[in-house]
Amino acid sequence: MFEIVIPGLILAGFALISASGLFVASKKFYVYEDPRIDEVEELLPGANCGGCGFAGCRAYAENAVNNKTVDPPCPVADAEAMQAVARLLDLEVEVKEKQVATLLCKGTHENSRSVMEYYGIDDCWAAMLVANSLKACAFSCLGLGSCVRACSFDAMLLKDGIVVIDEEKCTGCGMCLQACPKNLLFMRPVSGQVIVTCSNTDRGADARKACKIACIGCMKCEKSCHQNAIHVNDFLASIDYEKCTNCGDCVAACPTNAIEMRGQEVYVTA
Amino acid sequence: MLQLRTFKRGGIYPPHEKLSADAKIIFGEIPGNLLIPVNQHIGRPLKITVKKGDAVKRGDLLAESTGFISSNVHSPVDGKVLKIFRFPLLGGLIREVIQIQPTEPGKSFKEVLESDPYFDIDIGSLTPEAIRKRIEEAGIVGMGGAGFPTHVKLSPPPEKKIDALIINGAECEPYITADHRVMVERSSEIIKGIKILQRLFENVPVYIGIEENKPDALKILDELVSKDGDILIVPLKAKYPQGGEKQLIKAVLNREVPSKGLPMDVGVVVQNVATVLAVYDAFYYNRPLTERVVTVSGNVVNQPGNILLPVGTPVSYVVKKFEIDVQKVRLLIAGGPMMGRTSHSFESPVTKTTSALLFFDNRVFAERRENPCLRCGSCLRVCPMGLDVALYTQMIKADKIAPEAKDHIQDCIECGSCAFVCPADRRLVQWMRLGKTIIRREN
Repeated sequence: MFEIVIPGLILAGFALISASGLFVASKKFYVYEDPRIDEVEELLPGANCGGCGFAGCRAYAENAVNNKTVDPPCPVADAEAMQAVARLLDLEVEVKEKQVATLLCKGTHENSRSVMEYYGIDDCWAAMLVANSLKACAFSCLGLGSCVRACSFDAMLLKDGIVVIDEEKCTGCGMCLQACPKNLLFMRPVSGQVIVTCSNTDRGADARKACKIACIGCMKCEKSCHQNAIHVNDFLASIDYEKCTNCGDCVAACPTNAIEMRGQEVYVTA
Repeated sequence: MLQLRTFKRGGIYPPHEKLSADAKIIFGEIPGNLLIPVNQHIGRPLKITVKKGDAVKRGDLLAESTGFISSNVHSPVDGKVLKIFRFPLLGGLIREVIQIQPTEPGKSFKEVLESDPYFDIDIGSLTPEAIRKRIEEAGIVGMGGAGFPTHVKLSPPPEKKIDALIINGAECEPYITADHRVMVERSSEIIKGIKILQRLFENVPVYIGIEENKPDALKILDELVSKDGDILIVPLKAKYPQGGEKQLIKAVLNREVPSKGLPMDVGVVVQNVATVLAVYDAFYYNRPLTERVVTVSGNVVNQPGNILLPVGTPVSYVVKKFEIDVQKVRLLIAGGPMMGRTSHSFESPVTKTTSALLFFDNRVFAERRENPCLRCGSCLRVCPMGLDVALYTQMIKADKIAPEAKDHIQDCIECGSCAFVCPADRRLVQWMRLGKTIIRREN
């Protein structure tokens, strides 16, 4: 009987000593951390994509709480989440529209014929060391998928030699923009449905020779626009999304189908 | 004979294949259309000085340098500027070219060269500044392949004392014989060119490094310089990359160029024989660098040869001149098979740095798939720079280049020895070049 009590007491004694040690340590080495950091982190998407410029969502939350700022806003979080973060920190946040990555090229195998066979490394930057373009158009998408690998959200994939972007999955973090050696990707507000899918700044005849749907800089779109929202510079049209009303007049006017209208529903990938 | 000198570390022995070694340099005609690339050198981009419709004379400036590390481009023929546009060069990069329509297409280029007046100049009267200025004006760049402006190489800062001048006649790449033929046929001009360069550095000793597989060139030059005390012919072992600047210095003088350093750090200036010939032409004929000897070879070419071509000649002219069956050609390489660039267009022009045009009917090597690294270590054994290529390519692939590896990656001379021996057909040179661009982007 006695033999079992002694080890029990010894164990209990150990437990007591350890517990008091832990108690002292937790009081003595206590570091105050703003509980709001955890709350902010909860509200953030948790993708750790790095689109904001910080090392991850935790780092962003720490910066937001410690410096009382939501600038730059998380590019991935929706407006609601950002407002919740701002409320938590007693800040105002401007509600920005969701941005999506857009490829300014439609140089599929069908539109721009391939002029060389490439046997090198599957990486756009590596291919740029050898040739500006694997297709007839010098400005076209290389279609080797450096941006696809940079995307943390599985929103991009390669199809017919160009990249297609799933605008529902795209969070607008902008990591793909830096991954593209040819600067073919840009961010547009998701409500802007009219897109000039070309980046060719060559003169019209040369551009047309290189790609079936190239923007030839004919200025028809500029004339057709009632809002003064589309302009041609360097034989290439570009749209001012602040003015564009998605009326579609330029799409109808474009002789080469270089301007495209995206439907309300996201255009289907794969 | 002396024991053949060579560099110690790494190196490979590819088949020589010098098919055109005995073919005399021939002269072509002025092609009907010239596409002259604006930037044919390493350094600052040029400013175009002509516009569409301008009439130009042979030797007229087409684009001028915009800084010290930059090099002029001149017109090789009389003609008219048709158009300035972007066009794929040999190697696939699309760059600005100036299209010139010659006034006398079909005229023998030999006649054009012979009509240039000869000036019997006294080299002793030239000051080093005048020599450098003339070389800069003539737009002379390193004709071995890289295209670094020659006057920059010849102007070391005063604290760098130059005590040796090496003339690079190694020509270690398989197939190419352009420098070899130049040494055989224009040896006395080369010696005169060397004399000009020697003036720049208080009559330093000159070493001409030539691989042993060119016995005729060795013999001719040896006879020419036998009465000359300060020019020495150095026979070298035929080993690749013997013609690499750093390897040549190691072989000839047993000096090691430090990592990230230049030959001038060890007191050496290296010039290619073709560059020396261009220097001779610039002084004795007042010719800017507008033509060069190009080797045309490969297994599709029935009669491999060497031809003097004006810069800007499209490859299609060579195809016609050498009666090459275009249907058979499946691979076109500009430069040697080790370091040259494959090309996709027969309309691309020859530049100042195109030493060879090689036509092959297969591309077995290129078509093989890239396989995972076997960790066999072959690339380590052959790397002349002593780099751990296998490790660095893994770092580059993972986009995690260790800070201490960055200098080593930039030391790569892109000779292609590692890719030549790699049993897994890895694109090691392209990986290393990608690594260099990543490091450049980070800085």
